[in-house]
Amino acid sequence: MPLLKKSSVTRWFKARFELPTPAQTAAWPLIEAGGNVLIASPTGTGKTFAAFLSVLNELALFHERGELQNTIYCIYVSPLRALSYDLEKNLHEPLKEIYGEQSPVRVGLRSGDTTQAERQRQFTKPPHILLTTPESLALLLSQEKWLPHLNGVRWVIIDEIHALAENKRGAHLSISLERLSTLNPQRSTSPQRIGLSATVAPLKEVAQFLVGTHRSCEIVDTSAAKKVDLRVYSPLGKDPYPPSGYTGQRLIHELGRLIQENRTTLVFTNTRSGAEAAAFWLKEALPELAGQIECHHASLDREVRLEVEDRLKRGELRAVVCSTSLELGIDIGSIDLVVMLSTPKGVSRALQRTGRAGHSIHVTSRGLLMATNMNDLIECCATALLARSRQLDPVRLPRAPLDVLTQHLVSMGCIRRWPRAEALALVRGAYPYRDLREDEFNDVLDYLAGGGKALRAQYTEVFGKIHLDEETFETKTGMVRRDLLQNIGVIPNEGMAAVRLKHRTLGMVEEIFLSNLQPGDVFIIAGRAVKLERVGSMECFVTNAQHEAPTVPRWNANKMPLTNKVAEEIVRFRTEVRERIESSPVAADVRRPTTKGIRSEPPYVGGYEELVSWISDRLDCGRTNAGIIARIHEAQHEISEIPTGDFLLVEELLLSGVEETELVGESPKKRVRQARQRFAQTSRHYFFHTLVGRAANEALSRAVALRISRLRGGNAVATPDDYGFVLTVTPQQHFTSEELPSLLSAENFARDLDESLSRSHLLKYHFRNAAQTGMMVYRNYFGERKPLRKLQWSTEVIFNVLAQYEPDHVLMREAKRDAVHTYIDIEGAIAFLKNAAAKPMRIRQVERVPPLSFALFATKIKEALLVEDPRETMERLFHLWWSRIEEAPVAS
Amino acid sequence: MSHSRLQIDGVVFDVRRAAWFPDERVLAVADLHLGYAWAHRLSGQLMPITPANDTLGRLQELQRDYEPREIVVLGDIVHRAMALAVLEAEMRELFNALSPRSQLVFLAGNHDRDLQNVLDQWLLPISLAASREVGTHLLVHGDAAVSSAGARGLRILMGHEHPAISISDGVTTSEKCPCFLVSESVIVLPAFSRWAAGTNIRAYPFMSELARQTTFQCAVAIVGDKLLRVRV
Repeated sequence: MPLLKKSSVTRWFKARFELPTPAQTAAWPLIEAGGNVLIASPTGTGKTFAAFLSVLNELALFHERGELQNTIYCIYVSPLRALSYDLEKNLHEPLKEIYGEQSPVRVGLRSGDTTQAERQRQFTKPPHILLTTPESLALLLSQEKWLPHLNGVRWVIIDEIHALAENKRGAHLSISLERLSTLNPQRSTSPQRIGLSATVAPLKEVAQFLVGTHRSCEIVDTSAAKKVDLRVYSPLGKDPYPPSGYTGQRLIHELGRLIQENRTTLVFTNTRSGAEAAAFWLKEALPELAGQIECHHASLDREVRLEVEDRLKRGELRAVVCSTSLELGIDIGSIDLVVMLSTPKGVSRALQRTGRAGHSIHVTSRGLLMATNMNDLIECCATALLARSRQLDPVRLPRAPLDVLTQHLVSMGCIRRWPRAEALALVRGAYPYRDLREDEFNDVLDYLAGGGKALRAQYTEVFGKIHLDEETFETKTGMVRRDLLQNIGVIPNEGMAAVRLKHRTLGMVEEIFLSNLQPGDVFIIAGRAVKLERVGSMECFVTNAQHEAPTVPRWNANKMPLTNKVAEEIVRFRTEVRERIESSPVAADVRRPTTKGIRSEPPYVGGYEELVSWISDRLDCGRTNAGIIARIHEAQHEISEIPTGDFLLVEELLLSGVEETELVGESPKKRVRQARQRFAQTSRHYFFHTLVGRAANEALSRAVALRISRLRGGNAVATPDDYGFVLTVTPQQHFTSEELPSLLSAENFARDLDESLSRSHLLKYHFRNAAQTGMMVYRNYFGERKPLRKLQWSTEVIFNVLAQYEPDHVLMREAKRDAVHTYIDIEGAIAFLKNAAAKPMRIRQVERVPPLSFALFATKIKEALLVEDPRETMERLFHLWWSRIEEAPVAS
Repeated sequence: MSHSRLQIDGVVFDVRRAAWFPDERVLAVADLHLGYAWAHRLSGQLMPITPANDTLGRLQELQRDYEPREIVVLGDIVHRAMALAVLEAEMRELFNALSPRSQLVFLAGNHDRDLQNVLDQWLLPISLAASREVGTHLLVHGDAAVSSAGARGLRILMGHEHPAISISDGVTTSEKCPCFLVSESVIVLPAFSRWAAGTNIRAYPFMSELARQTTFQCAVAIVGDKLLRVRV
């Protein structure tokens, strides 16, 4: 093989495989040449051996020359333990075939699961190839005794790097890599870095993330090689407003049909509860296949999860329904079809998931997007369209997360005393930290030294984590180091509770999920229906509920925002549809709106068929889907008008207070509902059709809510989604078209957004995470996880204290950066506003909820934006309630 | 007419998180949690230390206004009993400031385990008690059960729960407000400490037997600088 030097390994490969894949052919010479390489290609294209064959080859040659030493030569890092397990098996195979049972080339695995005994063995006889996770690597770097073993590392391989680059775990890893690279100042070259990535854009950004700020990287991109066939299905049939529950039934029915037609189907649902519910209903619908349909998600008991993966690999399962857990590249055997229940919220994701089907480069991957409501349908069609032309949403790397930095500085300080300048230079070598300012760096050091704005000087020494002086820092000995080792990592406490059936643990559910249930409710866990008996501290107790129906599955609990590309596509589409409807010849009498809403018969004669055909071609979505989409837009045209890219539409809807039936009961949740209903007021809803994606709408809605509060007082509830946002206000907060331009002005937008964020739940949520990662609050205390509730309380209080006394504390800054990066698109919002300023804006009053606003309206109102001055809020609440009760006698 | 005090059945509730017994001239507060931030720092969590530990200031203001014969602290005086110089300084300062003009009674709460030892080490003349009778009331921390024989027909005044109640305008705003809870047999005080987040009684069950067994007639919520009586 001319691509690699000859050895027993290359001979083995040649005997085993016919030809190298394109990824391997391109990558091997680059790796042999000693440079850094990013290999981007879909699953099943030989990425593993593209990276590892060179490494195995070199190690085999060392051995042949008698030069193989007791040290770690190669470190492989992946975000999932399962990937490492898989890889271990895949590497042992050639080694066993070449060398027999006692291979001179050793492979070891190290993660949170590794036993003490095994860890000790690894220390005395280090594996040549170490397979590990970002957290375990950081742990090794924190211990002085391990450094000699890490000094001679020649290759670092990062798998699924795209899944790491976009979040804080990747930022954490990037600093670890810099520390690894600079361990041995005597060495002339740093370890070679090899990255394995799925299809993302722009690859240059991911490549730079891999190699750091100052190094260069070659890119091997073979993503185009794999063909994808992605389609859209909607169960809505003829009627866009089917009776409730109908959609679910039809989906399951269709899904069942597909499972029967294919050998193995993989279904994604985005949420754990959705996956459990879907698996349950599928088993009910296909009883003869029930034993071959399983559910998979990260909160399943480990044994159960591994068993599902093994059975899938062996081809024993007809269908697996997962949340997102099988998105990354663990080997799951051969999949015929990937089904995504409701949109994956992004073109790259849709492609990655579809790519799990057809496990070889020559087979076309078949994927199906199943839409669950109207907006979903259009979104799915747009996603499929963009996926076919490979228009990917760009990766966005977080910028210099400060909480992650705190962990590394304490960890570095465990090894030796560091001059500040040297530490800063090292950190800046990590790509996410290339722009880290010196003052930010020093602020973090001050925080770690125990400092704070008003701290009495004599107590700094006693309670900080590091000794800090003008020039240097070093970590204190003892408890600080022990605590660090227990709490390394960035995965926050997500608040999970164990589900216990008698003495067994079935799995974990989210505490939030549990808080919405009451004793007696039936839900699905690990594929079975159980009834909730009682809730404990971080657990709940259930009994079997075999023959009872569970609560309605929620398909759409989606935390991921829509990407800009898909949003742009939908705006274009709406503009075009409107033009067609307005210019089409229509008989006047059929345009009368009915009192019931949507007719199931098309109102147009002649024009309708053309519209459907056009939509079908435009979205490449088939006639049935096109028919539904046509009807939706016609209804929108009747009740309101179709929002397009040429103007801004705001719909105003007045609703009187909803009377709920009196609820009688003991549970705290019911008491809350009672209280609310006693007091419903007329409220006003404004639907802003700003189709810029949820992240930009998060920004827009908050700033607009703040501006209304300034204009009219009070607070406003803003509920954004990908298609716009709805503002719910009291009658006193009514506004008109004339006031729209000032509400939607780009001027001072960033400042207004900032102010609106300062007391928001979003910020508090991110602060909770930053406080954990930044060692202000421990998620693990004395080896046990804290209940989410306790964590929420402590961080709530700290947040309030900091907001008042130290709003620019490093962890408050980090919380804001994280919240904005993950959820809020300021640039997109400002760009939209600048654009919209030149266009007409109008408020249109509607009598009932128009279809394109329906999804927004149906969404539960999530967060009241506290933009009002807190003292005024208290005054207002007091006076509101005062008039409803008798006065009590007051003491003199 | 001021909205900052409310009298119900002979007990005066002050918006500054205190209860006043006018006949006996006794002021009651609960759950000071002194040294909260330091307790966390000691276990390695870098909590912020704020300049305004205003617990003492607020107590002094109440002492000036009411001129109580006796001040009773209903337990959880500290967050954690630590032999720390900074905590000693705080306690000594509090004791020296308040004890000249009122008798100070400290009840032991569940967070005050080992506090007596530490107080003795500091040579502070404070003896923790389990309960205190004030007229027709029995003052306790609230974590331990009180048998009806023990209560002797007295109404219980307790802390421990850090009660709060959510108040909403039904459309856009909901706030969690610390509150007093009132019933014929039991009164619960809100936590005096600013560090207490407050447990929304509409969403979470009570921690103690005492409170769980009680049906409260109303809550007196602290809404900004005013008191508001609301149905529970």
